[in-house]
Amino acid sequence: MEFKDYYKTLELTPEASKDDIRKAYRKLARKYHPDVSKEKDAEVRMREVNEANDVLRDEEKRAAYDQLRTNVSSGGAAPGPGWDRGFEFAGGEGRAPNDAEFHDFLSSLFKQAERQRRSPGADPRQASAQQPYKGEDHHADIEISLEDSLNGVTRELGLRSVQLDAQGRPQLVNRTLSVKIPVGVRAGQMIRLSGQGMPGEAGGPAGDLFLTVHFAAHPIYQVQGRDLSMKLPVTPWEAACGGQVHVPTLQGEVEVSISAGSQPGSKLRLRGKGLPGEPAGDLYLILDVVWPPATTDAAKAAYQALAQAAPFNPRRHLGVQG
Amino acid sequence: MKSVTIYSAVMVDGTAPLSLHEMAYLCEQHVDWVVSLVHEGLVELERDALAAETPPDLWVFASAAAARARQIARAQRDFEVNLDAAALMVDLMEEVRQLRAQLEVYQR
Repeated sequence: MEFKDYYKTLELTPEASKDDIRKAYRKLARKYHPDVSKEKDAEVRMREVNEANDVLRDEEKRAAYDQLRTNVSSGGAAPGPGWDRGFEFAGGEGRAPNDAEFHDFLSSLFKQAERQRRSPGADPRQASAQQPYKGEDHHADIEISLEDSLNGVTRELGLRSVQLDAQGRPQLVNRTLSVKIPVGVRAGQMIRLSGQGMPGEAGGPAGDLFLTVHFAAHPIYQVQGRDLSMKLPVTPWEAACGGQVHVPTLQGEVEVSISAGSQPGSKLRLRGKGLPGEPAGDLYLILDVVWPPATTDAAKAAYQALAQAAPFNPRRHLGVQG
Repeated sequence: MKSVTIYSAVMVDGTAPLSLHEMAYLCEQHVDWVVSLVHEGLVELERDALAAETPPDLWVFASAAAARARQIARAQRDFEVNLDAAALMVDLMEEVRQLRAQLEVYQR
């Protein structure tokens, strides 16, 4: 089983004090927080840093983790605390199975241990036999494309459970869950898979699996809620004289009128051409004037003719001549 | 052993909203913490008009509320700040995200 070294993630040694951990976390949080970081893989790194911090900052979790860590590094198969039942953790598509969310797995582990503490002296299996217990809910992230949201899609999620074998040793069990993503789901929204969390105990219902949807970066559109934006390149003559241009939308190509005298950066709104919904979103076009290169004599002559025909000093407001 | 069955997911928003207990679980917080978020006006209920007279056990939340509550919980815990400071951080982060998204449209 792939084991993550949380100390390495926080650039610490296993002897680190509580204070060292806090300082290391703050330093890395400033460096990698996706909202402030300029680093390329900031989001992934921050997730790892958070995961490591979640465990190491808590004395009990850290102790449990250290124990698990020792077992793994010594090659032993002795189970860690709370290994009395299966745990499941989920990874989004595109992630290697080894990167699946170890964090979820660990937190299941700790919750299990916590539950044991709450009923002191009792074997949790016996305790739970007395009252039905709803299984734990699970949460994971899933990345889909804009088109997937528009058309609906079935995605495969790799789920791994840790279950004890007959000798009481933890074993990894892989399971693939094919999930039909509902049409029209937007980035940031959560979807629910009833009964796909942890199994319940003593006849209790299974927990649910929650997935938060993210959109993969789209080559053309930017998404804000239900609205989409895109840069629309136009020629100088289309911007100056107006004209009809073709624009790709999620619903297919459409013809759009550019009004005469349009400036770069002007925004056009195509109502209802964003993501579907009640009401449907809009598609914003941001005009980007693109100049053809003057690589031939004819093109050069045309630019010179333009200079003659439409004398223009774009630096006039700067108070300079020509 | 590998088995494949296709499961249909349902939207939390509108179809299968989150209960108070589910919110608490997703935030790794006690239900009282979620109740205080609502009372402080930091997250909204799906049907907010009913908040005053509806017992918390019957509250339902949309996914935007869950995302916001999860961020507040995380900020509060990771940076050891109070609820107001955590909510302010989350607001500012959200603003940065929106500004960056706008900037990206123009930088392409």
